[in-house]
Amino acid sequence: MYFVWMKKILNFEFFNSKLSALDRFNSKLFFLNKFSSKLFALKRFSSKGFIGAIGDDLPSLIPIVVSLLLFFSIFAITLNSYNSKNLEIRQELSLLSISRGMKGESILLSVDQFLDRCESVKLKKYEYNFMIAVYSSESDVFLDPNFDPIVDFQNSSLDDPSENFLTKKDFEDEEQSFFCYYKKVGGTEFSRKINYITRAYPLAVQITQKINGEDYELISPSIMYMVVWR
Amino acid sequence: MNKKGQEFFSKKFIKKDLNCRGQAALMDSIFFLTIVATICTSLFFFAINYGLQTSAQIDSFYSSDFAADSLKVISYINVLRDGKSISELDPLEPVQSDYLLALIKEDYADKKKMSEETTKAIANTLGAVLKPFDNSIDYSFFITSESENDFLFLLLATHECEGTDCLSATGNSKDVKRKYFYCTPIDNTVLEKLVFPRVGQVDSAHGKVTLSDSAERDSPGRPFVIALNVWITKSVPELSTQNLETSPDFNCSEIDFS
Repeated sequence: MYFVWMKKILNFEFFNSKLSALDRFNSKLFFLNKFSSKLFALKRFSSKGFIGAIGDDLPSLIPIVVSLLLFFSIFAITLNSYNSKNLEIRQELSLLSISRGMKGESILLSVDQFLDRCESVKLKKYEYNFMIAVYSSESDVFLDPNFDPIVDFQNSSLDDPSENFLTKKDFEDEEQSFFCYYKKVGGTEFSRKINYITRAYPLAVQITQKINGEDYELISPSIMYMVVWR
Repeated sequence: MNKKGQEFFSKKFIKKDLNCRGQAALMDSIFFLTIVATICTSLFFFAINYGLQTSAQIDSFYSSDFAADSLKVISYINVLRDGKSISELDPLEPVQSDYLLALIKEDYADKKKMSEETTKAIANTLGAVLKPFDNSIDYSFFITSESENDFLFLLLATHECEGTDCLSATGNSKDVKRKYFYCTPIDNTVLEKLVFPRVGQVDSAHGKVTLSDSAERDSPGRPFVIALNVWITKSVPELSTQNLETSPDFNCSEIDFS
């Protein structure tokens, strides 16, 4: 600061070189006087109209605050979207891996085989809930234009599966539904309102058909529906 | 000091020095706002586009997987020998069922082409297997030799409007009906040339099947490609009933299930 003021004094002297010696002496005195007052009373001199540290820069603070708010809002939205999409992708991949385990080579020879596969995909600490059911392609449900497997899933529980699901007698001669249900510890019940993914896969299922009083094992086309939710 | 010197001093050094500080800070903050706005725009576009490609790939993978599973199912299932589904089996009549693949092999061995019953059985089976998406997809199923230039069998399943209520192109309208065509085109590239470029994304599954001619008892058989191509229903002039039945490129006839 001192050097800046000295430079100003010298420049002024050069400018006033045509003035008389007395004038120059006076002007030097004036500047020395001003310089000392600037040096020691700087605060007083520049505090004209000074509101305060923040108040003085209020116009420049507004864009800064706006930009920070904008940045953090967009950042929060992006992070939220990124997480939800990642979750969706993980859910899709999880469904694909379960479906691979369930359909095998796209053929089911018995309901016991289906239930065995169901047990094998129910992994401990699995982070998703799922339901899997098989419908016969020849089932009357497909004649209904408003058919929606989600309604059947919503109305099914482990002990009480929907009547629309394909059934077959197991090795103990008990009628069993092709229905698999896994709910993680503390998992929510399935509902249409929650975020879920559903997929369908074609499957060949060996069914028992009674012809002329005898049971025949025939392979029929079926559809396996799956629903996965968190 | 004279007046001129004082005026000069006050103008040049004091006034400018005091007034420019606020403007500079404001300009800096506007630059900062511009930079932040640019970053925010980038973040916003990232948020919108993130995962879209992965989801599209997963969907495409699922569609191909579905088509491949459909081909497997076709090779496993039983049908009645008259081409009907086993659900139409009369419980009082003797069993007249067989594997669909056996019917295909038998027809090739006897006549080197598919019989009417086998054609119906294939169409019925495909209809049953693709039931979850029956309203929204069209497809082609074919068996072709790797070495020859024609199809052993080509089936086209399309949707066509036969009335006035045709607003929905996806088959939800009551006037939009599913149609099956058995085609015998001369050139086996007809699908690649006339259908696939016009219908959008096509998901395909291919497999191999060995068929033997009964005249060549000792031969190991010839390899054939069996394929299913699925696409979202689209109104295309090339796939209209009139074009399919009259065009020599397709040479199709509608399958009558009655």
